[in-house]
Amino acid sequence: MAAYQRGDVTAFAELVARHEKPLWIFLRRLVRDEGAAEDLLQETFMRVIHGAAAWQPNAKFSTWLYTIGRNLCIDHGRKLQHRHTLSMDHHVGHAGDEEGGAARLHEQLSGADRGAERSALNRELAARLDRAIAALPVPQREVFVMREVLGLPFAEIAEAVAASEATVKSRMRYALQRLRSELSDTPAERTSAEVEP
Amino acid sequence: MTLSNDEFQARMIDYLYGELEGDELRAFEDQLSESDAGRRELAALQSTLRIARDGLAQAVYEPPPARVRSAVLAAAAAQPPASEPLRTTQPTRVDEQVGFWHWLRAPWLLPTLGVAAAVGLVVFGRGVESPSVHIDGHPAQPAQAAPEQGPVAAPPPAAANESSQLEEKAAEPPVKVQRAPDKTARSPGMRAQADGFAVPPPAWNAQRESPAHAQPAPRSVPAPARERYTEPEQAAPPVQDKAPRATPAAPAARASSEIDDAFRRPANRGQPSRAEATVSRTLGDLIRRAGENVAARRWQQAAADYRELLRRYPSDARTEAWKKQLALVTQALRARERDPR
Repeated sequence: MAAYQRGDVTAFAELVARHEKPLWIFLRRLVRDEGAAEDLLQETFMRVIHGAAAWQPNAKFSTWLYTIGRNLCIDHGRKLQHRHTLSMDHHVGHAGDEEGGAARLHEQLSGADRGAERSALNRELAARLDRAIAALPVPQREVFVMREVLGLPFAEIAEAVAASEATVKSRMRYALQRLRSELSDTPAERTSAEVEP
Repeated sequence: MTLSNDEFQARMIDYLYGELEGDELRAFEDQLSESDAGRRELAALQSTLRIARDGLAQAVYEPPPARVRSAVLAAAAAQPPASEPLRTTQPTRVDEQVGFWHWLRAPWLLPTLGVAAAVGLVVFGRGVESPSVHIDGHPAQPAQAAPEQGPVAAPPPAAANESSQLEEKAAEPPVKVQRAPDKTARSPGMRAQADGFAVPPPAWNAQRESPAHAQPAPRSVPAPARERYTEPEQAAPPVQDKAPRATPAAPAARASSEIDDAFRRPANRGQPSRAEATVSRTLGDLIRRAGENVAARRWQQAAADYRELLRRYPSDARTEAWKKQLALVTQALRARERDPR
């Protein structure tokens, strides 16, 4: 970034190459609309370009980048709320058992350790997880994605979402609890029963 | 050290991620050993996390659209932070300034048309009554001078101002008019840039929020090759690897595009040729124009601008940046020549 501040455009190209994919994944997970995510991805980098002159190397570039992307997502969500077309905080709760569903699913996943069956089960798990993550409230979803998908430390996440580290960890805990609830639905049990009679 | 229930809950995640140490770790584990509910909660969280990680490991992430990168890099090349500010105000679209509706809204239009109509009526009436009035050598009426000059020849001062501004706008090098036929810019932001906005974000926003663009055109995004995303922070290879290879373009293709460009220019509302327009430019104008051309993906003109900058100002401190931008623009130009889509 410092090189780009000195006018080195190729340095910016390297920055884009390094960060565009994680940022794209983050935005896709947050807005769930490919077209909107594409616009947000482009606008995030445009904001970086325009804020580059004022950027100071006292924070990680990735933190700054995700902060911009996150704020744009929030703006996007507000616009959608005005249009009543999509609720980003849509959540379907389950009154299922406590930890049983998730634990059983994982056990079944481990048990079905053979070839195509396992692959099919994994694909199903990935799809279910996608839906479960998408159903998380935005504050929990962004923390979960930043930590588990992007691998950011909690301190950096706290900086990006402008919250305390304790708050971020609390959101992470709630996110895991909600995921457990979402994943406790057991279509995989049927698959597992077919796999292991 | 006894933890309150809130503290115990708060440290659950720390423990889960291995971020507890020393006394805090011991205190947490002591309390955990005494709490069945705490152990169940922790086991549930651990189980969910394992499932989530297994599921995420199976997730397939499509790469971001390449057009976003090209648009972003073009904008970065157009506005390097070290250079002078290119434009601080909201950019205006030239076609809006000189377009038909703007002309129709001009304050001098109605009075001028009224005068012209009145003069026309007078002339027509006189022509019908005495068609030989001029031929016979009679002294000309004061009103007869007006139709010869026409109402536009002597507009009121405000109208003259407007006219001169319009002429200046028309004489400017093309911003909107000479739009490069870029079919790859499909996203709203890229469309906005292709429409002649020099400074992308504000213009892009304005474009996106304008009613005319509220409904984006249906996307025709080709299904990109799916690839797995394994390491979130893994550094991508240098951009040179991903950028279009800089093989020299076929001479025939390049020549034909230049000829096309040359043909486009004179037909463009009678504007001066590029050479004429360039000679009169100052350094700031040239830099701004180059930036606008890059933002609008008019690579050929942008390349010409940067070459002109390097030729005319070889000792400027920004020559290195110009050279790099010229290289990028040339690369984009060659990529387009290879694949016009």
